[in-house]
Amino acid sequence: MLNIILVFLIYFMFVGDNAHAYLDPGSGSMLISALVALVTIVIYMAKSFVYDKVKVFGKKSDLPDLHREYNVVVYSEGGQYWNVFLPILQELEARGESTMYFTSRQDDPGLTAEFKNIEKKFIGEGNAAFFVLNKLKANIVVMTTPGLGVLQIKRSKGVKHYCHITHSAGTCGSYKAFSLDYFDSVLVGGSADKNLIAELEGKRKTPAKHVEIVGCTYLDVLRTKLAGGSYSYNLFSEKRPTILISPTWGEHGLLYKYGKSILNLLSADKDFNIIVRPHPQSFTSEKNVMDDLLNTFPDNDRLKWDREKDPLKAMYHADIMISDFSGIIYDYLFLFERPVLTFKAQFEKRGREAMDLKDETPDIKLLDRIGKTLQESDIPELLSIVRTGLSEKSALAEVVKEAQEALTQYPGESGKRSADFIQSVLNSKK
Amino acid sequence: MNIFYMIFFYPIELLMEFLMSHLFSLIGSYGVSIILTSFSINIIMIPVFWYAEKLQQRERDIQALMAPKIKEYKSVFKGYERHLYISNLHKQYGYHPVYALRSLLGLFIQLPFFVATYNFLSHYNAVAGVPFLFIGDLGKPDMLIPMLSLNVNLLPFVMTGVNLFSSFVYGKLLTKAERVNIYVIALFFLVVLYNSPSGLLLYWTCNNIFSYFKSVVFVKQLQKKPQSAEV
Repeated sequence: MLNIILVFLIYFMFVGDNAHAYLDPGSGSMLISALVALVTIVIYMAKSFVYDKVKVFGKKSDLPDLHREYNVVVYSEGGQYWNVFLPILQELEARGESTMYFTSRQDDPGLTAEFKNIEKKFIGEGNAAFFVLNKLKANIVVMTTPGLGVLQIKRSKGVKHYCHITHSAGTCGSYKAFSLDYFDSVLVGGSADKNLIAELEGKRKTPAKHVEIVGCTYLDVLRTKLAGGSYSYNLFSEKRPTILISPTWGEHGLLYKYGKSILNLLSADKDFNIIVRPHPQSFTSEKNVMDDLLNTFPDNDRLKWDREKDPLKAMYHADIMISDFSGIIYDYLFLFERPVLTFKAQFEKRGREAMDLKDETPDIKLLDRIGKTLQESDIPELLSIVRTGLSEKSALAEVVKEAQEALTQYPGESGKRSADFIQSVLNSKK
Repeated sequence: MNIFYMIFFYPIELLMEFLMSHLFSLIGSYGVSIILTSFSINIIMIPVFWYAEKLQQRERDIQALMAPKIKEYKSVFKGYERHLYISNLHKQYGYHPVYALRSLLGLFIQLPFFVATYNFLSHYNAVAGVPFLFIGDLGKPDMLIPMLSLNVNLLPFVMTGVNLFSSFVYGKLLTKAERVNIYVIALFFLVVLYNSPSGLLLYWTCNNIFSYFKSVVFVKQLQKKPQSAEV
């Protein structure tokens, strides 16, 4: 209706009542399209102006020297990615490669790590960090932050090469749309991401990136930690087959949806020990549900709530994991090669890379084979499903091998391979 | 304003006057001359119409290609984030919202013809008092349908009928909302031109008949598969 009113208004503006021009259908439609286009353009321009010019600056920090031409810059959004960067930084340090580590969190362990060739600096969060990154001069910038050139971090003219490194053993299918399109290269865990990126490039006609399979750096850190032998089965006084419940947060998470019925069932059986490890975000986003579960099922001899930062201890104890769609599934599978029961959560593809892919990504497809995928109707049979899962552990080896090829190759070599790649880029820029 | 008129409208009025006077001297009938002038102007305008249609169709095609993704992003992203994702979608399709102005070009080419025709035929004294077929005076409203004490004009309804039929054909290219707009516009001009001289209505009725054939050809041409860049 608005269109029609606009047409009439413009009609009288253009023509006036002493010169009634006539419009045939084609012209009428053209006029409408033009008006709609004009209104759309005005709205679009206004939005662009407001978003680009009227910025609310975040926490300000001391700016790094933006006139300096850095060699390698590693940018981290915060401590949660420290294990992703650590093996690479260690390698670059050992090779004497001049590197600057920028972080957006003051509590990032990287700021206190001791290095000779690696400088470290907190550059602030949000817009303060974007300001620095968008004006940077460097031979190569490595980061886990997706959406370069799409979201707030734009490609700086002073940066010769942008490299993304993946930070989960899953695939980039769960990334938001256009996440990797404007990077020059991507360091990935296995063949799945390499294929997925090629498919997206073909579909979007974006320039081909260099995709290097290096393995998962953070998994290598966890492997080293485990090999250190500092973990032992000490959460429970008596050793029993142990179930780790480790869901994602939000309304689709299994604790939110089925927490009470699952815990009722499992805690009633005296054959198992149970560790409940909710996603840290659950204690904020669904606090009431968590409080209720904590009150109904408090810690006891056979049930423990795990809220430690380090997930390895809980994983070390567990013989089987019950989860939904959470990144921890593959960490557990690759580190311990033990089965995972997955509640089929609705994986929301809209707005994500997976939406533009023909097929399900391998990390989703493999769920059926690394354990059973469950639905609400399976809950009454959960105990017998757990027992079956535990008895079929040995059959997992083949699936793990396949999953490793797709998701995380070269265990223990990711730092070296990443540094090799970074240096090859640096050499090509000389 | 005079310079504006001299540049954009006057040359077209001169062309119409040239056509009308020469056709009349050849045929000896103002009614037939109006019909042939309408036909000639339509023929002259074909390349312009075609170019304008193509521009508009290109805009429609790209909008249709992007529509599913825009709908998707609108369903999951909000505010600034949504703006950024849609902007990037535009970028990947080689599109910018300013390109929508392309469809204005066609309109601006046509507007002078609309206005000049109206000006010329509303003040063309040569047709005053001249009858044609069942029309009593080409310089006045036709008043052909006697109804109680009023005489209702027939030609505006004929013109609108032709126009609605033409809209129906053209409408195949459009979305439902655009189709509704066009029907409303057709009815709107019935009201606006209701009391116009019958010579002008004869001209526009013929124009709409030619426009109908033009639409048939354009619809066939434009409905051939548009080029697509899959994203």
